Amino acid sequence: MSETAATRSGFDIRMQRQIVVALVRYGMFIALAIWLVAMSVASEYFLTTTNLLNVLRQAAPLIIIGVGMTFVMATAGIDLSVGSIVALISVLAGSWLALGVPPLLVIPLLIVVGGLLGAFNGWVVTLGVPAFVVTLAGLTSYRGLAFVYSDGYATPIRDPVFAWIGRGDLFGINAPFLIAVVVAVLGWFLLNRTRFGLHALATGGREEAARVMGLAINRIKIMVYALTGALAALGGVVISARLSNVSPHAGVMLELGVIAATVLGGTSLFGGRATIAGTVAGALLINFVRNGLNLLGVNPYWVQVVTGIILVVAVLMNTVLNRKVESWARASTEEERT
Amino acid sequence: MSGNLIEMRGISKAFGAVTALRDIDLTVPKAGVVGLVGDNAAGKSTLMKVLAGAIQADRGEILIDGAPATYTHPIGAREAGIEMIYQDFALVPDLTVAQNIFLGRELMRRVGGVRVLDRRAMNARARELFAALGLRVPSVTLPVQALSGGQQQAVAIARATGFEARLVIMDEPTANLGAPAIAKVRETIGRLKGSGVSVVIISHRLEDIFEVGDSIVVMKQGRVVGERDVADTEDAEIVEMIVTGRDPRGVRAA
Amino acid sequence: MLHSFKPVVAAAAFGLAATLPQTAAAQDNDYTICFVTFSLQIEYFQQSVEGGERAAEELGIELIVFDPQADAARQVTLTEDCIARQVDAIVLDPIESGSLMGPIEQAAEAGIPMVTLDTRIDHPNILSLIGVEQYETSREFGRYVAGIIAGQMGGEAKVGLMIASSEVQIARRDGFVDAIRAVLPGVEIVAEGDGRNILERATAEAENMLTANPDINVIYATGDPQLQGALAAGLSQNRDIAFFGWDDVPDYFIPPLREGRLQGFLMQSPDFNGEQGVRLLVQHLNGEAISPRVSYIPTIVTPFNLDEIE
Repeated sequence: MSETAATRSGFDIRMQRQIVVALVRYGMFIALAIWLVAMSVASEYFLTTTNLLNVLRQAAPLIIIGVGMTFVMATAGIDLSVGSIVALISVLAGSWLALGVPPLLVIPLLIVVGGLLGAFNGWVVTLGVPAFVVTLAGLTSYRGLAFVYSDGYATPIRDPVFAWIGRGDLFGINAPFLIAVVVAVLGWFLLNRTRFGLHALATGGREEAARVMGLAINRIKIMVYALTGALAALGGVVISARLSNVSPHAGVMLELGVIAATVLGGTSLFGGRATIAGTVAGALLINFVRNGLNLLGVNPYWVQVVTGIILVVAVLMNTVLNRKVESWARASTEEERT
Repeated sequence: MSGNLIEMRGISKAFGAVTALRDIDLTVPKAGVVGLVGDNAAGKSTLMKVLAGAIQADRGEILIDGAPATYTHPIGAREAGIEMIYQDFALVPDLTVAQNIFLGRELMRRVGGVRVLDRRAMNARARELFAALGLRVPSVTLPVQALSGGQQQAVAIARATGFEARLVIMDEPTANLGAPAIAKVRETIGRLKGSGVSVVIISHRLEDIFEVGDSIVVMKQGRVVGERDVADTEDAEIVEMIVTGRDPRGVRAA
Repeated sequence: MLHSFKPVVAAAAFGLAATLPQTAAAQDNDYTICFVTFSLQIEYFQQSVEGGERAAEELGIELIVFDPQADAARQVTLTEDCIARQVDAIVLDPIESGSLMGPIEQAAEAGIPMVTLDTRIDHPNILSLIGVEQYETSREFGRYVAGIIAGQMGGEAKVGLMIASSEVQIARRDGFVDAIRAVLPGVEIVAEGDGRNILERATAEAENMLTANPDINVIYATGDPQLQGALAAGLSQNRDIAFFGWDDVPDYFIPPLREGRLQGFLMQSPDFNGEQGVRLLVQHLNGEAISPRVSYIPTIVTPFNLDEIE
């Protein structure tokens, strides 16, 4: 009698643990799915092709730059300068196109410029300056450069390649989202299947251990910031293309949205744990929350409040659940040994 | 030349105004187990970090198998066959057992011309390593932070011994472990010695060194106080050397 | 910030009105109109939205107000959300007209007509532009200021400009400058400062401009923060300068006008814009023809007609 009771409660506990582990791994996707279902029910306009494609296009820059931020956070760093890099790139794009440089040359050049700006950030970080401070300085100075270069003016761009990037589509899916998907897939591969991704996680997970194992910590750090700078530039191209406009005001506060999406997705601010798929889900959730509430006619200012609450709840759940899982795993390994 | 795997000669190291190592000589015989003991500021860890390539000595030389060592980096030391197990294990908590073991020397394979981590090979090899060492972990795909202290040490040991090491340095391998784990460590050291690998153990637990060690080196304040063969000494004499910083047999010049 | 509750209250109010038997609404047009403003942090646009809400209540339609907080990308996103919401029409107060082509095309495809306030966008789906003719009005004002310079300052002056880099304010500058150059070619425009529509910045810019150019005796400002900033700078440096400019909200400028520090400004009626925007769209939805251009002439307020205005 007692034996069957014990095995049944043992089974229940194992069931519970499976559920919690699943929540930790897939929680963000579950939340996204729940929200999509809820919004479809609440508003007849939500599940239309137009609306869904719109939101995917709106989320694209967040995804593109979020992939970079995921790598930076994997190394226990942070990059506050991405919005300002977007502004500087935007302004340079307008000016180079106006000079007649062909767009197929402009775009790779801009990505290189973004990469160099990022590499500079990374280099200063390796000198020992906290990433927060370095990239905060970048936030102000890169945007300042954008204003200097453009004299504060926004100018339109009338280029067919940019027009396609901003508003074109392939097989009915808009270009910005396609670009985001490609970036996300490549980013996932880089993080999870290559040595570089593994070493980035090790650097953030425990830098001392990585150091004594001989990993090239400084090179890794410079490269993740360079990657983020390059992706910020690509994001800047997409944003400028979507607006058909270059402006030193572009991307204001964008870094906060990118960081929110990345953290929401389950990447740890303290390094060592990162997920590209989570970042994509986080970016989508942020945009679908705004979109759903707007369609329902909720006061738009509530959107900011709701997004903030979701962020805190998600991180809290992630932290608590992760700790639970760890303690269970350790307890069960102790059981096995005795 | 003389059956010595490692000869350290005249190693000195200062950190700013503080002299950590003063003209140290140390030999490690092939397949020999050397215990390195001394109080806290003796310089034991610093000396071993020099040997493991994590720190550069200011003066002195290291001979490995009679030939001068030229490495300046932990990777070079490992290529020379020297592995170190750190006191805190130096494991990355979020990475799996297999990922930790192969950190810095991952097995790769090609997928359509791109070099990709060969996770299956690393997991398999990791399991083999544990089997060969007679150690157990629940799964090589668990993150290391999900393992108990003794299991984490097993991972650290597997990492240090899985790559054809000739010398394994263990920094306080039995600190904070329960009796079964300590017995496992002693068994592992014996196994290593049996397969021709030399071991240096930094420890404050003399009983472990007397149990598995061949010789003991006592250090104090950056100097070697004295050396003994384990068979030729006893607990009290070693303690006296640690505390007084003097060799009662008076052989060593200061 | 109080204003943020207004759309909710308004929506609730005529949600309620819609369920009650027809007592409150004068008319009942079953339309939903989206009002995408510029930034509700600026009082000019708050009044514009208020005008729109008044018209909405009177006409018995539902008005959804979106505030992009002066961010062009956000305005594009909010307009796209309006279109996805399948509203019947959209009132738009463009931040950067070039950015909006995408959503305007989308609205055209979805059959949602639009009007713009203050800034012209050329597109068949934009049925009307409501607002002051920025360039023409500025040119008229420039002639007026030229007259003052000729009559009271001997026809010579050194002019400083305080602008912001939005399309509207650039048009205001250009009209003024063209008029001055045409009427009094001897008058020199010595400096131009960019206040970026932020009061602190405008004040700092104006102070720098006045310090660098001690002989400025006329200042023309193209917008509210720029004019306030310039007045503050002039006051703190105790300079004898004739100020002219555009306002967004007249209240700040009554005292300086009365004290004689401000010579004249153009008073706009932003609520007219919002109200007309909503009205015209409803008329169009009801099948009536509407004018492609609705403008008014802002009042030039001077010390002489101040009493009439108040």
